[in-house]
Amino acid sequence: MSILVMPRLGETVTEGTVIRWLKREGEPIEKDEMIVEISTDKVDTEIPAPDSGIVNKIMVPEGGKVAVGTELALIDGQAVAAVAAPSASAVPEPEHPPDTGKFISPIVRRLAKEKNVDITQISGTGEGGRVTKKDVLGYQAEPAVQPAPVAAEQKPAGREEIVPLGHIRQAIAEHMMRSLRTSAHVTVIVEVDMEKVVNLRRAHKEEFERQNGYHLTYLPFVCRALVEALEEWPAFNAVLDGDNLILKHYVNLGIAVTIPDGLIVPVIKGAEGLNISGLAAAIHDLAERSRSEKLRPDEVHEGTFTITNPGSFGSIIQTPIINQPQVAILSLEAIVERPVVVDSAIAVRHMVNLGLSYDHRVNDGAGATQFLTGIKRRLESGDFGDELLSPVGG
Amino acid sequence: MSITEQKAAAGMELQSQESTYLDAINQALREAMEEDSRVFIIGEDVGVYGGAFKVTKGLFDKFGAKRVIDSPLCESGFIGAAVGAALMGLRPVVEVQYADFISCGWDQIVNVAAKIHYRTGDPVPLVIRAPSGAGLRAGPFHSQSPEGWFAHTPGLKVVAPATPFDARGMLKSAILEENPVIFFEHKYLYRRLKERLPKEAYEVPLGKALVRREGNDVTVISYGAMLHKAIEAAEGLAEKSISVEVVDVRTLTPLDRETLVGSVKKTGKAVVVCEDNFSYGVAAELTATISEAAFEYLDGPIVRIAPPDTPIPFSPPLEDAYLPQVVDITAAIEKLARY
Repeated sequence: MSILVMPRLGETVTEGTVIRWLKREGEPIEKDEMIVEISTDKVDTEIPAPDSGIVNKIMVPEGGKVAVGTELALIDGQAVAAVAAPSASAVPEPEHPPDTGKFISPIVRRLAKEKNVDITQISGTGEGGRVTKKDVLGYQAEPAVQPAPVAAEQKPAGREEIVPLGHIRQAIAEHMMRSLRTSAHVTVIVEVDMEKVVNLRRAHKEEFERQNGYHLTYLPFVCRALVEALEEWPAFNAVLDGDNLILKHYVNLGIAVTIPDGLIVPVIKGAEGLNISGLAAAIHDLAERSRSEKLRPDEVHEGTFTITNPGSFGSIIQTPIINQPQVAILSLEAIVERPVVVDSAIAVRHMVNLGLSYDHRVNDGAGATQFLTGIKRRLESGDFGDELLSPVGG
Repeated sequence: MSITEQKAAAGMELQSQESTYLDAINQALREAMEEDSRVFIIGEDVGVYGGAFKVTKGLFDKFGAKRVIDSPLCESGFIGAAVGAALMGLRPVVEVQYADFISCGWDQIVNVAAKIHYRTGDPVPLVIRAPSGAGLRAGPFHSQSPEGWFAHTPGLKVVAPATPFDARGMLKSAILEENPVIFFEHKYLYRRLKERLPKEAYEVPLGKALVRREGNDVTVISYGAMLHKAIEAAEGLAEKSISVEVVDVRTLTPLDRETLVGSVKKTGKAVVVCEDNFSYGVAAELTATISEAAFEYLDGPIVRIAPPDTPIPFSPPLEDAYLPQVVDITAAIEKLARY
């Protein structure tokens, strides 16, 4: 008998939700055939069967949210496929809450029962992640979705609507609040004269589009300048682990991509090895696959720095929230034409604001400003010409 | 002095001088003997010499040789005599020079004093004072904590006060008690603790534990000298934001289960610290009591801290290793708090 367990879809992922079983109890399955769809904070994915055989037992129903390592199903490798008739019963409802795999103390069990709380929904702070008495007492269940009030409240119909948050929205909400609780956020903003980059893009965009089949945007230019700055100031390309700062001498650049349910941050691994064409290709590929939900789980992990691009919607200033456990995040705002003073005369230039939110636990204002002005100088130099010639490279 | 005791003492005028734990016992004896002519003291060197630790100092001069009796070196003899005196209507207070020597009078205590009332209905108003406990570099025959032997014997009351206030008040209660009481005085505390005691006589009831320090995360249960180490550990952990409640058992039998269990029900976690050695000891009884009565309130294993199952070493470093220390108690509480 093989056991299918909830896989760890990334090092920070602790739980997942069973979206849909692709096989029912009693059905035959081949090794590596997809058996279940799983949704996590990071990504939705299908999970292959660990062995060939008959699906003997499904232990977590659709919609069930369980910890990594929880047993999901049993596959009987001995059973002969022909003998097993497909089970008439659909996925069973478990009689007991799914086992968290951790010890539940008497008081925790009793309090959870009294408060009618599902222990598996509580993240434990005890030894080995055990749910403690304090965890239960402090736990506020997400308010259950109430059926719309009928007569008691005299609200005109249709003026209010209750929309339960989807799991991605909930994951974003949790992550954003955790980040604000974790890091000492400070945002520094510089103005960048993009005139040279604008001219460069204008000169190449048609040829680029003809060669590659997609638009050349400003984002790869900013990413390139950012990657170079990260190599020069590694304290921004880092993770804070307790009292240690772990500097990353490679750049895995996270790109915030808007998707219908919210936001996802696919990662360009080894961004330091890509030129502008290479970055443009990677950004285009990840953005496309983010929107079509075709990302692999490992493509949303191990980012070392994140860039967000609210400017594409017209924003000129935002103060982004750091993507934990990173130590800074850059926002690219809208490029707008503005009158500026150049050589003691007023000129119209393409200007953009770059916003850097950094963790003041790790970096200070002086370093953050140097880092950000490093990006600014690189962009204002406009010296990217030959990088647009070779389609992908490094 | 605890908050509760300060309240208790609030209505009382305090003495100008501080009293040690040892002075407090002397005061209780003096008061009891002044109040009731049936009270007398018997033991080795308690009279002319004033006792090996000078607990009975001055009493021979005040009350004379008939009421402060120097006995031969024979525990079974003078304990037996005291049991007889109690049966005949007197109120003897026996001093066993070291609690370690009490086993010589074993049969008189467990087979005579503890059982007579069950056979004949007669009261046995006997107190046996026994200086117990280690920490004084006194080796295996002068350092033991044998309270568990007597707490295991039906028919005896066993008390172990931890402060001068309690020592005086509980000895008074013991002398007024109609049942035999084994009164364990921790000799490490004799001259180390000082507090101002009430001028007037008072009693501290037997069978009542006391919350010495309030807290929410972990309950530490102890008595005698270990109580003070537990309190020190609790104070230290407050700086780490671990809130420790410390309960002083005070009376081993009859045990105040309500107070102990009530505290553990509040915190969900318990550490028991005893000086009696580990196996089959007082700590085991306290632990079992909690697990039976508070099982559904527990949020972690009950932790026992007690010396190893060996005789008490002479060597100072070994004795220090033998006895539970503040650092051991602190580590255990911290680990349990994190659990």
